Amino acid sequence: MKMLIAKITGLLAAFGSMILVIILLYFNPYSSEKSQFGTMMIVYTTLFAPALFALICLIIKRYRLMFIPFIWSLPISLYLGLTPGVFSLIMLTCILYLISALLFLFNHKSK
Amino acid sequence: MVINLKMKGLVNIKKISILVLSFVLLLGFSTNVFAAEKTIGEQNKQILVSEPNNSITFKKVEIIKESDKTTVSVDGHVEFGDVPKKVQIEVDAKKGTYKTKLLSVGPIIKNPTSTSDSASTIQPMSATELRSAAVTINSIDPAYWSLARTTQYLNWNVWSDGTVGFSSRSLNTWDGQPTQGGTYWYLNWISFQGDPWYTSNYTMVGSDLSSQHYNYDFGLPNLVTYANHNISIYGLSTGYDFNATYSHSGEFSSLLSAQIWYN
Repeated sequence: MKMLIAKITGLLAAFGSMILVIILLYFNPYSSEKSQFGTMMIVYTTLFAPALFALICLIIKRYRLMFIPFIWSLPISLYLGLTPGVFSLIMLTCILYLISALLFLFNHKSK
Repeated sequence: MVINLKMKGLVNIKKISILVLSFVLLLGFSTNVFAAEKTIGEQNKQILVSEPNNSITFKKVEIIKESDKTTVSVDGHVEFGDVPKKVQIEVDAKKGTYKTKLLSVGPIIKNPTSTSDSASTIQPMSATELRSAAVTINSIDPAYWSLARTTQYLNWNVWSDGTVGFSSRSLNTWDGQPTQGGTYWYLNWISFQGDPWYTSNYTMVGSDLSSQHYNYDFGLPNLVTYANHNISIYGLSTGYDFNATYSHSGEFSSLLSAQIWYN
C-alpha cells in the first residue's frame, strides 16, 4: 500500500511539474509575451528534466533516486513558491518528490 | 516490531519535514537579516574585469556596494552601424569579474509613451546627419522573466565640423502587470535628470534619465523590492557612449539581475 502511494505521489509530482512547465512556457495565463530562450533553458533544465528523471526512476524501479529530482528542482521551486500566482504550485510538486522519496525509503527499511 | 518501525518512520518523517520547513523559512528571511547586519553608510567601489570567454565587453563595469543595496554601473560605446544588441550581464563581486551573454540582435522598438523633449532653436549650420540611440535596462528574475524596463531614446544632429546638436529625446517604461511569473511591478517615478547638456566644444551631447520600479507581492506581501535604473546617453559624431546603472534593493533583491539593450 505504501509503495502504491509512493508511486502515485511520484507520478503526480512528475506529471504535475511537466504540466506546469508547459503552461508556464506556452500557455502562460499572465503574459502573452513569448518566453525568452534563457527562460526556456532554465525551466527545462531545472523543472522538466527532473520530472523526466523522476518518471524514468519510477519506470525502471530505481526508487531511491527519487531524492534527486527533489534536490534538483528545489532552488527554482523555492523561488516560484514565493510568487503569488499559479506557479507557486511548483513548490508543491517539489515537496511531492520528497514525500514520494521518503515513502520509498521507509518502505524499503520496513522490509 | 512492525509497529515500532512504523513509529520510527513517522518520527523520521516529522524530523525531516521540520528540517525542510526550517530551511525554507531560513532562506525566506535570510536576505533581510543579512541586510540588517551590514554597516550603514559604507560604500565600496570595485571595477570588474571581463571574463575571458565574453563575446561582448564593455568599456567599464563597476560595482558599488552600499549598506542595503548593490549598484552596477556599465559604460559602453557604440559606433554608428553597429548591430543592435540585447546583452545579459552577470556580475561576480567575489571574483571581481563580469559575464556577458548576447541574447539577441535586433532594434529596440520605439514606442515612447511618456515625456519627450525636442530642440526648439534652429541650428546655425546644416546637419550632415541625424543620429539616434536607444538604451534599455531590463530587470530580470532568476527565471529570466522581465520584471521592469526603462528606455531612453536620444536623437542628435552631427554637423559638418564634427560638432553635435541636440534634436530630441524621449523615454519609455514597462512594468510586468503581471510578469510571466504572476508578480506585479509598478513604476514609482521616472524623470529626465535636467536638460540635455554639452561638453564645452560641442563634441558631445548628453542626456540623463532615472526611474524607480517596485514590487510588493513577491514573498511576504508587506515587503517591497525596488529596481532603480539610470540611463545616460552621450551622443558623439561617430557613435555614442552610454552609462547604464542599475540597483536592486529590498526583499529578495539579490536574486535579480539585468539585461542591457542598445541600438
